[in-house]
Amino acid sequence: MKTYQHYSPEELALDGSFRRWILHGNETDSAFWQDWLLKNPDKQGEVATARQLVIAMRQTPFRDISDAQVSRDITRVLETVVTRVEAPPGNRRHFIFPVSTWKVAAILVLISSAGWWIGRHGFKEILSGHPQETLSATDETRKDFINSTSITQKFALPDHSTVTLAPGTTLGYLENAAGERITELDGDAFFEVRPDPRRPFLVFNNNVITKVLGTSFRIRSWAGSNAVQVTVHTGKVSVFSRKEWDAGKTTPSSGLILTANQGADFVAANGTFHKYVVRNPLKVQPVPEQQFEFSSTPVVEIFDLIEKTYGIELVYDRQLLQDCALTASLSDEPLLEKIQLICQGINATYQETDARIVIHSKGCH
Amino acid sequence: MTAAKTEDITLWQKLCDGNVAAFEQIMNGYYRQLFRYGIRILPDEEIVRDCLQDVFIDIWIRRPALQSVNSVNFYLIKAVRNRLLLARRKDRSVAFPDNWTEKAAFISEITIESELILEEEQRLHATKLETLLNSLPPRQKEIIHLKFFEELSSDEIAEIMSLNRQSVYNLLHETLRKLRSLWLVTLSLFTI
Repeated sequence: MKTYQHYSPEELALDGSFRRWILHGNETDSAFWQDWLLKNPDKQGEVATARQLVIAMRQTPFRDISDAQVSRDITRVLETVVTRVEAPPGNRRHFIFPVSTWKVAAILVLISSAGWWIGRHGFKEILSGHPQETLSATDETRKDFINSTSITQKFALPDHSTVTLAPGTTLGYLENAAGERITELDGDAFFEVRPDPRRPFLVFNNNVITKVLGTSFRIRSWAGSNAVQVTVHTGKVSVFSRKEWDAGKTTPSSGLILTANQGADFVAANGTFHKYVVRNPLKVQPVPEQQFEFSSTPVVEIFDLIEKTYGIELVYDRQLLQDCALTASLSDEPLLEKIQLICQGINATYQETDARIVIHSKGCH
Repeated sequence: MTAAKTEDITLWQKLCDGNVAAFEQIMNGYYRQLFRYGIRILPDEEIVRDCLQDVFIDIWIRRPALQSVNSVNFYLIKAVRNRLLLARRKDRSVAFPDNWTEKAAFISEITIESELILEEEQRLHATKLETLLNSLPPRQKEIIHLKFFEELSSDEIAEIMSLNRQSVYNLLHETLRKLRSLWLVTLSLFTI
């Protein structure tokens, strides 16, 4: 039996029996450790520290997931396996995976070596780049880009835009008589559109039409699901519901305009969009990291910098916050963590409304 | 714990036989826990959620071949980890950008450390502690999570992280020592 006489708090924290006592109150272990403490009263300090270590290490992450999100995700998996994977052959144009086991094994090997290959050579060299050209009955210029592999694939479109397709995604592309670039998406895709003001780029999903001039953005819209999600990385897009589109309301000002770091979900139930700030906003303007080192800096100045850096609007009472200042290093945190840390520092709270961040504060005094 | 594990194996067998309800139950039981693991090694919620969904879809497709799995928890963690590492590698070279880089993890460690000052009380505030944990390099963050959150054995961690048993212990020990040295100190944010 171990005596634990010379154990450091770290060693205690790593001992299975010790952890079982702290975390699960296991009977045998509890009896042992209580007895041990009686015999080693000078070890109280080590035990207390080790105990804190064990408990502290079980801290839940900042960014947890809500119950609602969990059930939405699970529903999506179930929908996917039922509608896509289980559909009888012939009903769908393609499948995510063939089912026989040895093929799966071969594909898995391919995935891991592809991952290694990408890491080593960058994406360009492994681009499959050759669309499976299927001729549609209605339009001979239509090209279908299908990613039937299990990793994302980047394709070059005929207009030299590029699109990165998630596994199982299909994108149809054609140019109509007016020269408009028309695409039809089933799945999850990241677009980098080549700017051409005279030839709008349009993405059609079930219920949503996205119109862009030149920009990068992502759209998720799987057949069999009403959900459509559009998120913008750079530039500007306008989104329309199918209803608005069919009613001829197609000028950019009549649609919902999304700029960098904004996203919108289409709510099929009432045919409207829910607009929000994307989860992990990217800097729209390169700002040196050291600019996010603050020493007694007025908070309003910090907010100005954040607005400029992320292209996101912050709403707050400038007058009220003018006496607040902050000393902090916020260079690495994603946007929302920056906001959260600042709010903690000045005793404020924040809330995201309609793709803007609203700061509630009572001021500093 | 043991009871739960036996129950999981029963559910898993049903899943392999094509029982959707069992599949859903497994997801309900593990989704959040796997998300918490994923977000530790790749701090981008969307990518983590995408990976989790892919892992489960993949499990369903490959279910006839998964009869021999004997620890559901262990199998899922490994599957999620492989998928996330793939996503992370892919992510660096193309599209879906995120803020994660190995380098950034180390920078944050240094800046946070220099911003840390001694606090009188030994009380650990959850947010501050989380900041500390987040400031660890990725492998240290992961190993702490596997040991204390998932309560995996050293052998299991060794297999997941491709380390030998001794290295697992050493890395855990080193990480805990580092955390303890930052123990009393905390991120300073002042109002004036």
